[in-house]
Amino acid sequence: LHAMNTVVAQLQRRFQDYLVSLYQQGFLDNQFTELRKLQDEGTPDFVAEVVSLFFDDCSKLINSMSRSLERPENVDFKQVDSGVHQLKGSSSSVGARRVKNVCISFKECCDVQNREGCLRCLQQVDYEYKMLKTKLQDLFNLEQQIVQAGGAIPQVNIN
Amino acid sequence: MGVVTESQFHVLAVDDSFFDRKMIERLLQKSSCQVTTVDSGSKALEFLGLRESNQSDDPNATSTSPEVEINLIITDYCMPGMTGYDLLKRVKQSAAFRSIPVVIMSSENIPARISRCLEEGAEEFFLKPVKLADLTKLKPHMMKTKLKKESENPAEEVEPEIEEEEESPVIEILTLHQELESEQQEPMLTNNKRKAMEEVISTEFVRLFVGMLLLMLLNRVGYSPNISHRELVEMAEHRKELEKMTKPVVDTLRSYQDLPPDKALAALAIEDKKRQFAAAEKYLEEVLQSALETSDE
Repeated sequence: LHAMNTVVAQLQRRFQDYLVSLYQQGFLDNQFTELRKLQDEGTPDFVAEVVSLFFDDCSKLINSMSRSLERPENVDFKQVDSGVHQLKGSSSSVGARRVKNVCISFKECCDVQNREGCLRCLQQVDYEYKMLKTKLQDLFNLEQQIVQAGGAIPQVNIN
Repeated sequence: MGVVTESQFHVLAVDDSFFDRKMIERLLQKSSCQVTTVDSGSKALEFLGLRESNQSDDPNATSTSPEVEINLIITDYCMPGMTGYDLLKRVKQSAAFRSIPVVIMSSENIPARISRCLEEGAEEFFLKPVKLADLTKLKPHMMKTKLKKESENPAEEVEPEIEEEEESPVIEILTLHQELESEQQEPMLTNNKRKAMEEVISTEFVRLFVGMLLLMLLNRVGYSPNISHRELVEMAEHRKELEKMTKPVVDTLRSYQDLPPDKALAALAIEDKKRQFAAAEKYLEEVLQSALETSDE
């Protein structure tokens, strides 16, 4: 029993450190904390579900924006703008700080109809969301391990 | 998750984004509200029982689902077809539903948009992403409709006239008292309302000031625009009206000069509520007095 307790404590410690590092490195912001507040015993998968929805949205929107930007002589900036708007909204709701920041630059390129700039931003958004996806997957895995070891997910306070 | 009790608040949430609907639904559930989500303004009207093309002024328009009582409508601003603003207008134009508080959400901080919505009768304007703390501010608004509905169905028919008169000021005081208490506990007007107030005051003044300044400058360079005497009089009257409107606000603000702006406006809001409270108390006194007088006869 003692051994199990140490395992749980270790896992909890790893989880906490990892989560804090994600905030410190700017992957996540305060809104992610707000999101975690919405999860409880009745809805233990809420954060994972929302985050998964978000990544699906990213993938879909990036694809459609890519198509709109494809031919230089015929760019549908309205469509791109709409996509960026949606992405900015959902990344903001989820607390995906880096993705959101790219969206801000992306919108600026779109406003002045800068195709090259848009393509660069598109690439960056793609990179950032995939990076965040991996990081959060690691985080959720740690959570799983804690639960399986019989422990509780620690409430982490971010300063 | 929880037993559905009759006293729970029921909120109608409107947003065209599936993601945002999921978020607002969870936020509301976590705030102990029952939620119905729809993806458009027209579906919201349908749910309430108002058809889009219909006579919205029909005083006899009732909900098609009378057992569903909505205590609050929260809607996104930017939606294809009917915007949140359009929905707000439709609700406020309807005799049956105008008492339902409406809250607008938007991901864009556009002061003109915010003040337009507040002017049209929106209770609050939330900037997305909406937080749990934002929703606690909605409780007093939802309380009002609940209490109002309960007062509209008096248990006894005995002397309904006097009973109704005595009940509504009490209810008004109750809700005002609650609002006052919650304001004092959390001395911060919603950021958005405060911003909207500041924006309206400043843009109106700036507009007028710039207009007059321009006139002065043009006059200096010898250009006398053809402004009729009537227009000048109107401008002067408008300025006077503005001053009258904003004088109490500016006076109180000046008296709170040393306070940081947030606290100053919060103090102003508390003053305002105290005034409303005092007025409601006075009204209640008058009603009780007249009731006493008539019973003496």
